[in-house]
Amino acid sequence: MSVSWVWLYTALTLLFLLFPTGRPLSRRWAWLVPLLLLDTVSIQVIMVMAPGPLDPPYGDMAHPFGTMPDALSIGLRVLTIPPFMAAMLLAATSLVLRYRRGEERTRRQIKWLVLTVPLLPLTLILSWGGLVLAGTHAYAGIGIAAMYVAVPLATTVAVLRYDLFDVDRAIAATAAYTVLTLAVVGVYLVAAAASGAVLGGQSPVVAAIVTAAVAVALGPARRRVQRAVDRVFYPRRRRLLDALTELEVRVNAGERGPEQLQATLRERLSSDALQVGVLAPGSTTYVDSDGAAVRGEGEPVTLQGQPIGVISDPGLPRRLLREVADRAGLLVELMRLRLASTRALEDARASRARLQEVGYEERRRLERDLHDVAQQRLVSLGISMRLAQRRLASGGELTPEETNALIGQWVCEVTRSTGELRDLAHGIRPSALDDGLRPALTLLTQRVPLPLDTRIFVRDDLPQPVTTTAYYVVAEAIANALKHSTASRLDLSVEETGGRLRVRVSDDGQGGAKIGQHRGLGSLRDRVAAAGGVLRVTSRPGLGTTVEAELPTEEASCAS
Amino acid sequence: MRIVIGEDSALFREGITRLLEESGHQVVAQAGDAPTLIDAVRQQAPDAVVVDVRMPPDRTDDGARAARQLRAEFQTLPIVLLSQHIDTRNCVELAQQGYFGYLLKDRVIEVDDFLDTLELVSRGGSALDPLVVGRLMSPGDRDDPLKQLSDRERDVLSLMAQGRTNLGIAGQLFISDRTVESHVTSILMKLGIPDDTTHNRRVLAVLAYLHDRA
Repeated sequence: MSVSWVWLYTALTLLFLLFPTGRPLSRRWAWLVPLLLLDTVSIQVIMVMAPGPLDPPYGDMAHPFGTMPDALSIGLRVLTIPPFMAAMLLAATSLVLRYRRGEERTRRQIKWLVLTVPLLPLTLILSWGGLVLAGTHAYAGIGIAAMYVAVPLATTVAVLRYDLFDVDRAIAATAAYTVLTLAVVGVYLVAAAASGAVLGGQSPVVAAIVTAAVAVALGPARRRVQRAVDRVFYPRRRRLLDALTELEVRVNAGERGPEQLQATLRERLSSDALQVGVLAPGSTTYVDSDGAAVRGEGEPVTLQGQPIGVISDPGLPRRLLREVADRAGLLVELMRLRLASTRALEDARASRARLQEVGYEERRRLERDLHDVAQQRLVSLGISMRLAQRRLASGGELTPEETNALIGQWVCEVTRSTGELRDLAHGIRPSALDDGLRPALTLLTQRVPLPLDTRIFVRDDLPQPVTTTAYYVVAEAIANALKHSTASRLDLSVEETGGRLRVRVSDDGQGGAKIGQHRGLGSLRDRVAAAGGVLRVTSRPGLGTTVEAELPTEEASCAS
Repeated sequence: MRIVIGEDSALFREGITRLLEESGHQVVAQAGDAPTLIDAVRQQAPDAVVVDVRMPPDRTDDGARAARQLRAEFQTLPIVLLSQHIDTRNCVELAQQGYFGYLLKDRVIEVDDFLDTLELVSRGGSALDPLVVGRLMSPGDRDDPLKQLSDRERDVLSLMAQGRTNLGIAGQLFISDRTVESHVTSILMKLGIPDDTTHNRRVLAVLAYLHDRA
């Protein structure tokens, strides 16, 4: 009688009962563990005390606890072995239940264990094959050894790194190869029997050659078998939906970006036909994750009834595509939001760079103006004074009239210089703005050489950035109107309503102005945007031009 | 001297013309932009040229470029470049060849200095604005030979680079002519510049040294 076979089954049964959490499925299953262990020990004791010699290599040893009568031994076996079998069945049931009730993670872990199942038929094949070819069961040992390695390995992977590989695909591949192996063995058996019938007597060599030939011929069949197996074990629909779930989990964990949706689905389908298009907020064109345009055909992805994207693949049935599109809503919306924020960031960056450029440009102009105007005049004045000094020093004489004329000329130059400096300073920032927007604008409009209607309704305590920006909008718009259009009259209105300052300058000129066209308008738009506002230019040929800016007058109005 | 002026500001052009004429020179042509200036020099073959760095058509460094071109055509044409601000890039290279002066515009108010510079340049010398020299002489890394000079030697070197003669340096620093000479010998030795008997060539060697350092 075998002494220790029972322990092998106990280990496997315990694995089924406790995998993968290390605890029974629930309290109702907890009693099974001590019972199983007790039963195992009982069986072992009964076996050892059974009459007859012990199993090799203990055949020569005396029974350590003596023996019991045959009838008692059989009776006790009937009492202990069937419960053991029942416990094994129950453990298997528990594992199935665990899989059915489990979450994605548990399922994946159990699937790793399932991966080792084909080792069972393999062991049997080795056993039979060995018997047929070499007349021994010894080859089964290879299968058993493989199980000894594979089961703990699968268990370890399942517990520690269940998400390391795609277990579903591994199972599908394993199943395919198992089917192929069985087919080859089947062919071998048939070939062996046939060769025996034809040649008389068994001829393992001939059978082996035939089988090898068939195995090579089966190579091309592998893909078809794989596809058939995939249909059973891992259908396309499941693959796609699993991929979506998995990507969602990974995006949630920050390991992946939602932009990998298309790549992930393509990888699962082993095809590059699938396309995911996203409708960027505020746009009517679909783009892929790189921002390249995508045709808007295929199944729409919607969010609260609004289209947010599109998924297409001519190789997939429409129903399946529809299901994927329904499930991909969250990921597509995430993609969309990220796209929008990236674009907003790029816009802000470009606008900041332009503002900076405008700033540099203004500094350059200022430096030039200072040199060209004030410095030249002052240096010339200095030269003139030096010349007079030299004339006096060299014994020359100046009549009172000449002196008077010279000093008068110098004072005139000094006065002009201060005037030029004042204008320059005004160009940097009009000091009238200190008194508020209305006085500054009044001063500005007084210089306009055209009839001008003004309506200015603003409080005097608007924040400085708002008044300065509004002032520049008006100044630039008026300057543009005077310079580029053939306007005969202008209209200016500045009003504050509902936390927003609306500035409007319109003329009756030729129109046709565009924001990108004049440098001034472009930098004005950036300036207004920097103040959190919007600049609009309406200018149709023949209908005059209207420049309109809306500026938030309260700090916290950025939620719009 | 017969002088051609290149300057776009009418105001400044007028001032400098008056200054030169009252000092006994003759302004034979006034140009408001770089191409006109080059034409005028070719036509008039003047004794000296006074050029503003910033001029039309580009209003960047057109004057400096015109000076370079004139130097290539007339190796011994005295040129005085006037600039709004210090720009060592434009001047040191030209200064190494002599017949060249570089001054800030403001410096013209010191009428005597301006006329001295013009005189020096017309004799083949080089003169740089003190601010330019100051920038060239700002000591660099630790083993810069300039750091081995005494304060007095640095003063002498600085005045030398500005184009002053030994006599002028002596007058400026209130020391004797011979003391200046011994300082100069010491400076040239410390900087490893081969000594030369003529003052102009010494100055050019000093400028070349400062330029290579920069």
